Amino acid sequence: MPVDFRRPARDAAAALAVLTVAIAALTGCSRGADTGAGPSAAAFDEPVSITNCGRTATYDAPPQRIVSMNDHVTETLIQMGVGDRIVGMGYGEKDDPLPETAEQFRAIPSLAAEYPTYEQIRDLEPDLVVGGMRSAFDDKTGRGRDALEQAGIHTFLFSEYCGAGFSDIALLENDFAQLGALLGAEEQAAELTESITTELDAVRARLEQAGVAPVRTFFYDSGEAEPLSVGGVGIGNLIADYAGADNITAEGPKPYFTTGWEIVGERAPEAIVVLDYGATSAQDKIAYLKNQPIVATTPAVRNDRFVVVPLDDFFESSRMVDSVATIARGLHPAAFPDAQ
Amino acid sequence: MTSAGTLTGPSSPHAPAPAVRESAGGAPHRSLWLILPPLLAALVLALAGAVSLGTVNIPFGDVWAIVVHRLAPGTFTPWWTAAREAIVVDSRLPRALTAAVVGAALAIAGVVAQAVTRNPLADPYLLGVSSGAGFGVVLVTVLGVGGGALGAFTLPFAAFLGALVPLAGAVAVSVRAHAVTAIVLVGVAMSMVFSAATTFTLLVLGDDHQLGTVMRWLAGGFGDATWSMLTVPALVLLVVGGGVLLCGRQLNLLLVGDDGATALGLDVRRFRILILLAVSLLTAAAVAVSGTVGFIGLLIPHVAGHLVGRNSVRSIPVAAVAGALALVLADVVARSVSSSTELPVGVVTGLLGAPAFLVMLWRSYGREW
Repeated sequence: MPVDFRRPARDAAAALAVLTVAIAALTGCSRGADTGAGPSAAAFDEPVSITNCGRTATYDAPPQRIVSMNDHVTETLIQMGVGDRIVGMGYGEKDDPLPETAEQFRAIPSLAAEYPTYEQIRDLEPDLVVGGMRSAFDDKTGRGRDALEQAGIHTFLFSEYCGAGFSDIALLENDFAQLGALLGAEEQAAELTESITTELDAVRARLEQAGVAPVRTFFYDSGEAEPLSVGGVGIGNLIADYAGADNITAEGPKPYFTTGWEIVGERAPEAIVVLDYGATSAQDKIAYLKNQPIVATTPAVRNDRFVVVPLDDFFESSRMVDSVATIARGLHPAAFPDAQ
Repeated sequence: MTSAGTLTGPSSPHAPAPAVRESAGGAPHRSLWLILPPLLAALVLALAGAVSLGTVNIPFGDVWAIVVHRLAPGTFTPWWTAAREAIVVDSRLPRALTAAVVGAALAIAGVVAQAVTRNPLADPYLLGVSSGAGFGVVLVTVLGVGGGALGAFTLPFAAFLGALVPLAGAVAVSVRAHAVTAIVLVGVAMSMVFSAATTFTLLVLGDDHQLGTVMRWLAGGFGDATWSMLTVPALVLLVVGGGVLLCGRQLNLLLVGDDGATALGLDVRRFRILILLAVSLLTAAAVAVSGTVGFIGLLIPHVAGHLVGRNSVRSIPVAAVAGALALVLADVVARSVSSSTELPVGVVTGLLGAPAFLVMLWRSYGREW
């Protein structure tokens, strides 16, 4: 093949060469810098080692500059008494934080309506970033756990989103115990866990006492062509369990999964729990379900048995107590005579 | 008349030699020296802008003091924080350069794909190469196939393997059929198959919570760019892009048709396979780091053809620089449209690229017909 070194070829080669040299120079240099460490508090007597989503991390001292990526994470950290260490938060424009956390919540700088960018996080020089959903550490946007840890910043993800679901409250207990340990706030964390499990157990005990049987329930997240429902391994199923609801799509292998209207019709749910969030209001969702020809035949629609729960209360935090209480009262009014 | 000639000529694959008209045409034969230096200057300016802007407001002077400090340590005593230095040097710079490299690679792939198929519609998308590469990456990220066996090279390699399948289809057809249109049709079919396979993997096999992440990935973006991620596409651009540039004369021969090119001493079949392989490599390297970014591979070759004519020796370097410039600017737009969230860069190239393409077609047809 005849090689023809004409001018254009040389021009391009020169341009590319300049680019390569620049890259080489910058890459070579970019290893020198050290990430500035934030103000450090008294170190632990012995380093604290924890394993979160299969990642092991060792903390020499409790983090003092925390970025919280999700609102329920912010609330949980405030409940653990470390709200004053949060230097910035994602999803910070929430209008109804949990009442006991509201004052501190509003005082924390909100970085973005949703997640802050990698740049914003770096600029705050945090020593810990805590996420409550997998998307908090989205690799493609540059704020993946690898990228942050490479920059010397610890990361912690609420294990509900590690990938194996949330089928037992022990997952929350373990997460909160680890957070308590690494933050040097064991006691407050233990108290928080205790109050959550106590309240969950109380609801369950009350249902048992009243002798009510679980109600066959369809959990409706969204979707018109096909319904997105709650599978058997996520927080939805766990909440159903505590609230005396028998999830009719518990065979679903994921926390949320797409099922079919025919399946819903065939299983004839006695009640429907509607998750409330996003642009479609719960009222519109209920109206749709009532007009869906297959769903319209179910006992749930015929008896008009709907319970609306905000999706905000379907997360690994003390908020799940609220959704358990709401669903239990909605499905089993007999067990809560004092209500209404 | 050149761009109009090549835009319409190939619709009948055996049309007589548009290249003859090309060499006779006058207007688009602007000198490279008139076109390339301003384009390069614009690229440097765009890169500078991309490094200066971001979600964190760092003063202009600080940004460039940091860069100078890194290139020539000791020039300044740092007054900025280590975090800001990291933002500029380890986040913004590799991000801007990755956008440039990906833009250049896609644009070259587009020029070459159009030349080798003599079809102005051809680009890495239409040939199915992008969707094949995208599927390769989805398999790795969603199903964990291969599990990082090749370290930093896992994604590029998966993308390349994915890109080879549509390529093999195209080659098989080009061996059997003499009509280059068939290659494009195979590409269209292949991209349908791969987008179906990607949707299946995402919706049926994947975890619903990965959906957002992977959708975002597919829509393209440079948020996760690092220096080490930049190495593979930069190398591919240098080696394959340079190689293709050196084949510019042979590519030009194809403009006279397969028979004519054979008569002029080119082993058309072997050459076409080699060139299609180059297109796959360039596209795979780009897709692996950026996700699927549309329109650069289609629009930029036409811009280049518009500026310097359909002569590959001249249009390849122009397209490379213009592609780099376009994608760097698109990325700047992607992250500055909204303060709270970044748009996928593929959305920006689609939204801005399509109207730009229409205007360009309108003007070139209006003037030359």
